[in-house]
Amino acid sequence: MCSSRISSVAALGLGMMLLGTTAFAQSTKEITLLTWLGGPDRKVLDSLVIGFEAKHPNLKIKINVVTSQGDARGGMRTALLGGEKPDLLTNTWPAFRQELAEADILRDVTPVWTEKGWDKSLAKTWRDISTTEGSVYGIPYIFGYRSGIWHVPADLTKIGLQAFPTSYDDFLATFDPLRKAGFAEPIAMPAKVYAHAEWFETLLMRTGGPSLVTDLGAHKIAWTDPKVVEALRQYARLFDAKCCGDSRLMYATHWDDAADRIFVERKANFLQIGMWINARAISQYHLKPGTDFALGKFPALGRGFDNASIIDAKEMLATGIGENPEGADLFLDYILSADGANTIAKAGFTTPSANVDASIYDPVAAASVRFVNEGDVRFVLGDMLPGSLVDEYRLALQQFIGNPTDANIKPTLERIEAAAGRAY
Amino acid sequence: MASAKPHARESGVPFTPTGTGSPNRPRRGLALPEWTTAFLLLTPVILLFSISVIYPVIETVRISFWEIRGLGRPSFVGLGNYARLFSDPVFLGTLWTTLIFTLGVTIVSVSIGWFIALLCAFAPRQTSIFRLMIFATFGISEAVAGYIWIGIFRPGDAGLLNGILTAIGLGEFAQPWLGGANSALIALIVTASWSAVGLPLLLSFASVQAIPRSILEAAYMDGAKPLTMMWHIMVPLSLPGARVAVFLTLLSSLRAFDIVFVLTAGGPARATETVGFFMYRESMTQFNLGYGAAATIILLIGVLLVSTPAIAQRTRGAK
Repeated sequence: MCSSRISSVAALGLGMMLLGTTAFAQSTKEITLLTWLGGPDRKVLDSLVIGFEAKHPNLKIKINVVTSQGDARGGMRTALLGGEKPDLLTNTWPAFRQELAEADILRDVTPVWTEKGWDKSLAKTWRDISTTEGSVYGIPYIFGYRSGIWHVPADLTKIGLQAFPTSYDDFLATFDPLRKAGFAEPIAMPAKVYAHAEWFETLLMRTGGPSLVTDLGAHKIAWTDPKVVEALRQYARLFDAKCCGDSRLMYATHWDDAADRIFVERKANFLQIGMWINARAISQYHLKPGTDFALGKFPALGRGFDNASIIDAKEMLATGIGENPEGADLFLDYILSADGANTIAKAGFTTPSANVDASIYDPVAAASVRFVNEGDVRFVLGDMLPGSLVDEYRLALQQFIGNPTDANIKPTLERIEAAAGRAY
Repeated sequence: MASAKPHARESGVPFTPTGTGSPNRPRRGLALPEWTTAFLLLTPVILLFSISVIYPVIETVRISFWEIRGLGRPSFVGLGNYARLFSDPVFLGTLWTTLIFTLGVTIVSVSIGWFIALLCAFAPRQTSIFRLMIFATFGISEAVAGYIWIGIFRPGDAGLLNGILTAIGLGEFAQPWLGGANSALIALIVTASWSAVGLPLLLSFASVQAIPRSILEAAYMDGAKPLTMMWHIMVPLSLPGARVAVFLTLLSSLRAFDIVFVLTAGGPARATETVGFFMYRESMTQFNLGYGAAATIILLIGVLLVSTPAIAQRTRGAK
């Protein structure tokens, strides 16, 4: 009798458990997100996930992290080739987005974009840079201004300037007085790996506008195009005006050395690199944004493209291989919402979403957002070019700054063009 | 009351340990031929080796015959990747750089390690801490060593080396060490040698310690000076240890990647790009898997060419 009662209770318990499990399985659906991001970038993702799950208790986001050194595309490719089937993945290279699209991994979210009204959250230029061959596969959620020049305002005051120079000629004219004021080199040019290309890329934008950058990135025009020649000539003017130390110093300098040279050693004045300097200056150098250090808008060339910006961006792409596309779309929508955008801003990042409360930004971040909102944006060229061309492009520019003469412009661009011919 | 049964030994019956047969009789059980036994004992190792080494090598060889770009569809190119490699000036340049780097690191680290070992042999106990400290560098990963030396070679006054040069009045020699093609390669060799010197020291010291004391005492009694003893006795008799050190350092330098990645990233302008780094760049950065695999196979052949004579020499005479 007793044994029969125990059996009944056990059966009932088991039944309840099974029922509960089934109910649970029905109520929570998993969204898988593949990323290589770590550190603060990962923390902001975690915060977004927490906010999203609080709003959608029936959805759970599982983040699968690819560990990678150097170029993270290798790790992402390996994971995807190895059978990962995420609903979403993070990306920062338009060239990689194209590769993923060609491999039929991505899902076109154009209908979702319209249905959810993302045009209200993202300006047209953000949609433009998120478009590959007419399709939109996701949304940019974090961006960094890459056409800004980091400097110490007090250095400019020292040579009688009250504000950052607005024209390229005025900017070049600061080099001589800065040297006379005791600085070893006005620009800390980090040419060890890639950062020497930043100056060239914004000059390219200032010379020929966003369409030139897009067309060059897609190799719809040749590298020997007169506009590219002109951009490189403008780049050479920096060296003519004695912007930098000797080539060996530039080749030995990475962006962190350059930042140290400006903010710690006080030997140099200008550095063009991404927004991560903001966090470094605050946390590592203990400087006050807007006062001890500032971000100047890249000076104008007067060709009609002086408000356009080069940016880097992290985007969230939707895939067609995951099991929960509806959930993925809801997460994309959440990222652009005021809650999502403010979460990003509170984490110290800038977001393209118009729903953000701009008062959250510190003065430097706010300035970068203001500059970006003034015109069209394009990705850094290094992120747009195919992998095999990026190395050759940076190397050719690296060698150009060793001999930045008019005579070396054509051979440099011909060399990049030859590599482009093989890469596409 | 005495036992009726006498003890086995006393009874003349051979002593038999419980459960086993007599030691005088052949043991019963499965009698396998020597070769079969050896093979059975080696089977786990062979299996593990096949999974972790043989299979990846075969797979790499297979991939090297294909052109695989990113996530795109692979296409069979036969020996095309190899033909392209040997007409690629970048790859040929990395072969040359690898050769200089490998010889440089081997010569510098083995010479220094061997010389220190010989010196330490005169006072082994007193120099044990010193040897331990040098050997400790061998335990530091190459990537960490690279980061340590980045701080030393940094441009400007922030670099330790430039700072020291300036402090001792040799400021005119201060320079961006990693910014020149030659100085960057030298800096790379110095860093890798620093990282590698512990092994030659350990192996050479073990060889010197193995020299019979009587030989050294006899030479001393005959009036040999320390330098003569070092040159005529210790150097030739510690040669086997140094030879192993040369072999191991050659192999690790040929495969160098981490230290290049961290210290110079192959620059400036590819001046310090080794085959290992080229392989990484092609396979992981550009995801030209087939091309990168072909470079891997060339490197593997290089490693085999270096290691085969050494292994043959070490195993000569073994059954």
